Amino acid sequence: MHRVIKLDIATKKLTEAPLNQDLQIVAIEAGSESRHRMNSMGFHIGDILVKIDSNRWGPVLIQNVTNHATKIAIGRALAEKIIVTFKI
Amino acid sequence: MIVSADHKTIVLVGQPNSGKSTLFNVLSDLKTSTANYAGTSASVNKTEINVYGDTYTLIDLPGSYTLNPISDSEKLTTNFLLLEKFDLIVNVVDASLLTRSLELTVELAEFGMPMVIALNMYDEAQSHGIDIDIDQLERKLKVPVIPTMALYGKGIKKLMDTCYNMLNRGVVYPEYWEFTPRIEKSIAEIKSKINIPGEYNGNSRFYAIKSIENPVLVPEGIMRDVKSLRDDAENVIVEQYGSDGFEAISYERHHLSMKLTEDISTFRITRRRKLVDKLDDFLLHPILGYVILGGFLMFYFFTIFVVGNAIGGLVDGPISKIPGFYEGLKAGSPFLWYTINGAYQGLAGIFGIVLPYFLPLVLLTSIFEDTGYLSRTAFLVDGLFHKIGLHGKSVVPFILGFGCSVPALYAARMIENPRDRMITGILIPFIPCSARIAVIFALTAAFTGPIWAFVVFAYILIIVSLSGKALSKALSKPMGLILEIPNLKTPSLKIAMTKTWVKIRELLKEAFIFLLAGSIILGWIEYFNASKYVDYIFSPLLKTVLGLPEQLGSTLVFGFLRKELIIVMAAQALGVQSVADLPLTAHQVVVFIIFVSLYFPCLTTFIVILKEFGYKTGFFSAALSIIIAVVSAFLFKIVLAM
Repeated sequence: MHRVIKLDIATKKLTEAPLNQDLQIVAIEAGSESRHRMNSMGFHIGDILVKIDSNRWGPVLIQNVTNHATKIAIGRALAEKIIVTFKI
Repeated sequence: MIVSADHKTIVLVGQPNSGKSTLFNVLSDLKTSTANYAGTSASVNKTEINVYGDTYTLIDLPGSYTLNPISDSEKLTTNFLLLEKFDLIVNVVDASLLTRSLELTVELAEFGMPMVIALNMYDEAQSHGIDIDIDQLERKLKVPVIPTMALYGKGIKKLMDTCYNMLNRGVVYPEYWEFTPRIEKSIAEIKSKINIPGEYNGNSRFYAIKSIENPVLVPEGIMRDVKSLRDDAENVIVEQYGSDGFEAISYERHHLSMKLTEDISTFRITRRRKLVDKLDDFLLHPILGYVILGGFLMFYFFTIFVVGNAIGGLVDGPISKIPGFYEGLKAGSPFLWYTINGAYQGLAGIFGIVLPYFLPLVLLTSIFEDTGYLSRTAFLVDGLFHKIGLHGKSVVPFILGFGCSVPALYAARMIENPRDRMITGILIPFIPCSARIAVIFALTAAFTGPIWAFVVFAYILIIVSLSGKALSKALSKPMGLILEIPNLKTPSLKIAMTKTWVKIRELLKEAFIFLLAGSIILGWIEYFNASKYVDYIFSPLLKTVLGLPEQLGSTLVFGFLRKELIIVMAAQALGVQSVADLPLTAHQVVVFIIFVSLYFPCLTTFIVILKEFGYKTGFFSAALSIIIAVVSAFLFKIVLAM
């Protein structure tokens, strides 16, 4: 008997990821300066974060769960370059 | 020279919003001064403190996430630590953000200078469900760790006792944590080749790490010796980890600080959502957030307006009595009278108009800055500001600009990206300050009716947007917005008052001499009756291009000193008693308003732009404003004549 294994992980840009759910950073596809800045502010690939707020044209508000950090607002252009995975 | 040779020096180092400045303000008194650091606009706060009879210099370095600086203020912190002489670092760690804060601590431990840790906001950490084993942290880092709650002054005495003991009985150095063996091997190889130049602080392992991570920070002499070794090390990192040297080291520190946090703290899951988080649901809400922001802005302007007006009213009486004291000189020694009167006009402007608004503005801004609300406004309006090529961070300077351009320019310091800071600095003088708003209202009320005031404001906003867009197009693309939204906090009035006093003193110290000199020169122009020559010089512009009476030329020069003087001077120049009697048509008044609202900022603003942004930006901003003012006024003349 075969068991159907359903892949229940999705990968999306941070801008398109759902709110209030654990998201894991898998890539930061921005230029080195922005990437370094993200690192300096405590964001690294593998970290878990939650997207708290976002509207169509404004920045995205996230909170890093891995290091219990404060909220960080990330400009839309940069948020589009952050790739996250999450359970669906 | 920031550090004095006479006293031992303690430096406060911490990440932004770690409560470092609060700690500094609690420790210092009103003797605090700010010192500019060569090559940057950023400044450090400095004070002298007395501990058991010993005097120490205490320096508050700008908040920095790491010793890999991006903004001017972070560069200052790193340069200071690398090159200035100091005796002890107090690393202020935000206990409620332990993992992230410890990333800087891990880096400071690598740096290897004497250190004490102030584990600040200890109470907040506990309410977040974080229990920290302080003894364990001390054992791990081999330096004293003192829990503090700077805002309430708790733990401060113990912290100072510890500093005193260290400075008198011998300092201790922190112990560094090792990276993964492969990277440690490269570091050890590079380290063996390093000879640190005498003027540099820190140990050779630190420079070995930096040569891989961020070579620009490493002295040239060292880089020459280790270049090939560090290139090999980075190649190995790229091959094995798939990232550059900078990122690999950053990840190493990230893991070390997570490990350290795990070892020294336990995290209880707290069920209750904290009040501040619930408040944020409203403050950052996609609809309610803007309603609250609107209410906040109204409250903000209203308070500044009412308080500024009240203070202005109080000081106006005494200030207007001053000319009586030197009135007698006018007949006997007119030159002296005009000199004193010129100085008086300038000083009356700063004490009678700028300071009354500056005071409530700076105080209120300090209070709101400390609550953390200002960064929330930046988040809310970021999308809007993107339309003119800027970030939400520019909103605060812009709001302040409606009161007075000077504090607005100082507020632009909070923008870390030099490009955005410069654009904001160039745009601020276009925002009508209270003096120009007064001119606009007085002239429109007398001649054209309030509708024209709105037209003028709308036009100015269009100019600001278009200039912003054009400037941002002309300059390279900025780094994306990454803005920390710190937890909401209760502000301290005492600290806000200290900050206000320091800022006011800074303004007076920096602008006073220039303002005095400029005002006296304008007084001499009056004495030598040079205004007719001034009128003559401006005649082609005013009469030919803008169709205004040429006598208004000298008015513009006085407007440069104090924009609100324009009305008084215009009446004087055209020989009438009140504004309403000015021999101008409604159309001429509109053209005149447009011109005076946009042309050259006032003298104080100009001086502050030069100080904050340098001569190039200062003169560019002045030239741009004159060009825009002439073109705009001319356009209005043409359109109105149709």
